[in-house]
Amino acid sequence: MKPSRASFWVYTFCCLATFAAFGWYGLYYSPSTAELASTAEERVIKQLQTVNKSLGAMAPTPKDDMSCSCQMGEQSNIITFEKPEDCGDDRNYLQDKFQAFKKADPKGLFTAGRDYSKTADVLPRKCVLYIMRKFWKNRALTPEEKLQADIEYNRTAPPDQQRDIKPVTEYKKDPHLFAKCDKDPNGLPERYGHKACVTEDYVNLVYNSLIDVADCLDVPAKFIAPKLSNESGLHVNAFGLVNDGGIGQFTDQALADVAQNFDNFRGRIVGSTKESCKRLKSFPGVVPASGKEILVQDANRCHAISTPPNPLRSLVYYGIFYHATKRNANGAFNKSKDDKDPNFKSIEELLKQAGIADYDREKMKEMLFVMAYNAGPGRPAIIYREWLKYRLQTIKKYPITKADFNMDYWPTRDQLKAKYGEERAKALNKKGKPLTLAEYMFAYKDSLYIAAVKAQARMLNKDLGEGTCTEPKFLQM
Amino acid sequence: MHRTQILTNVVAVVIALASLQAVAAVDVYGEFQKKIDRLETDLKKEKDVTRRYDLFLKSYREMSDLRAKNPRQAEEKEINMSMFMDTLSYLPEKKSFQAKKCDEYKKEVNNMMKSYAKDQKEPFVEKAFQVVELICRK
Repeated sequence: MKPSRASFWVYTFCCLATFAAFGWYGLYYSPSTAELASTAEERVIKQLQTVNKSLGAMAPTPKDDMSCSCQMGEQSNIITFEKPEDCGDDRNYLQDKFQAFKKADPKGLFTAGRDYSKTADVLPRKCVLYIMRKFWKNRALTPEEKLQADIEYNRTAPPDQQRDIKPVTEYKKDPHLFAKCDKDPNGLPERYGHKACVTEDYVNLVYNSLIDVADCLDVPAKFIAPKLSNESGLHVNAFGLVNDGGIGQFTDQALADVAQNFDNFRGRIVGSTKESCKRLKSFPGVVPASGKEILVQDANRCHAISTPPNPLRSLVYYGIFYHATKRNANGAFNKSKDDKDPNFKSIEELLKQAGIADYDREKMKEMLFVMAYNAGPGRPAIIYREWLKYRLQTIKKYPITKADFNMDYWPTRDQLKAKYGEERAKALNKKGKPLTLAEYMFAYKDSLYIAAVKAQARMLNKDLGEGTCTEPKFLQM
Repeated sequence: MHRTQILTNVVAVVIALASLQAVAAVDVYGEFQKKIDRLETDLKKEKDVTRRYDLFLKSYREMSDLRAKNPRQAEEKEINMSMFMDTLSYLPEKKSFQAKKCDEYKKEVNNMMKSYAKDQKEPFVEKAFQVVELICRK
């Protein structure tokens, strides 16, 4: 029988539909070996799966998105990696360390590229690249270099944008906020002024480490990104002015907390079946045998900086620090009574008195938890309680609203100059209106920490898209 | 009575009332600090740890009452006093206190109230740490 034109098309359509169905089946349903049966139909499915897999292997790895509303590289609106040849010798000082890392990581678990589209929901790789490039300055300048830079700038700047040329003595030298640990990997860091070249290898190492720690220890990457952007800019060798070192900017007190909690968390890493945890524990020096091996003294700060095994070790410590601080900060927030003091008022009681018992507790806790990274777990809750008591004095005239929790705040230069305390409260010039929580913390405790982290989140949202690198409504009531 | 004399008497009464009020107003912050100093002195003198804890509890309660019975002070002062009280709030009540657990109490107080930034000195937290040290000294 000669097939008609119509039946030819019906036949073709059926074949294509069958192939499409089998293709879909192969893509979305991957049976385990135990489930594989030996029917003819299943053998065909298996063959189709093999074909699909081999096609998949030939397909190019999806590129991760590098778009940005910024100029960070040659092309506008695309962030690019720096190239070693463009950075100069003074910024390539970590290259040999990265080579050493590669040698210690022959399988490329942390140093090789991954399919970054798979972890884009956790935190896109461009967030890490952006944060690393944006942090501080590429080079710390001397007063002479600053003077020269102003002179150079004025040569091409329009008349209305000319900079004041001051005597060289009036220029301040930039602080040196990075470190080298060449002499002793567990010793005292040597301060250094220039940021390491932000190459693709460097970004991949930091990103792979961050993603694995986030997954293994259940740390929300988008929650910690603005915080780390504020602290270390995700640089392995960041070294703050109070000897806070490494990607996690650890001080001796913070490292002591990690050491104290380490043994509880070690089991969680070592006993886990997660691939991320398996990778972490496989790398030498990342998961010490016990908390006693954690070196907390300032003289040993390279322990949290030197690479390898940092940034892995420092990030594992950060994961532990995150959970320990969160537990204690929430404990301070929830403190309901003091058996020794009948006049003690809990946050809960004060919230009811203030008529805001329906406000989101988790958001309040989030703010105090962020502050706790710096101020310690107990102090932020005390300041918060004092602010609530302060607000209760004027609550009838000025009821508390969500605007009182607005952390999109930054003081003026004059307000910054005023000595903290009553003088600064006056400088805020609220004309009788009470201070918001952010203003109160700044006026009376000289603390802008939450506002500074919020500013980082705002910058990330503006340049990389709302919610791309931060959690939704981060630090926002 | 002469008009001038009446006026003089009124002024005298107003001044007397004003000065009486000034005497009645308690310098809460000053008193609070005095109580801390007195507590430190007493703790240094007392040799028995249980009695030291009793001394602490008595002062702690007095400090709390002093604040509760008087109007709110300037914000800086209120924060300082709360930093002191809240640090010590992590110590147990009388019936739960055991001298042998002193190291645990110190650890708990320190864990909750320490700062991670070395440049953030909180004098009233330091004073409270000192009180814990004095109670638990061996």
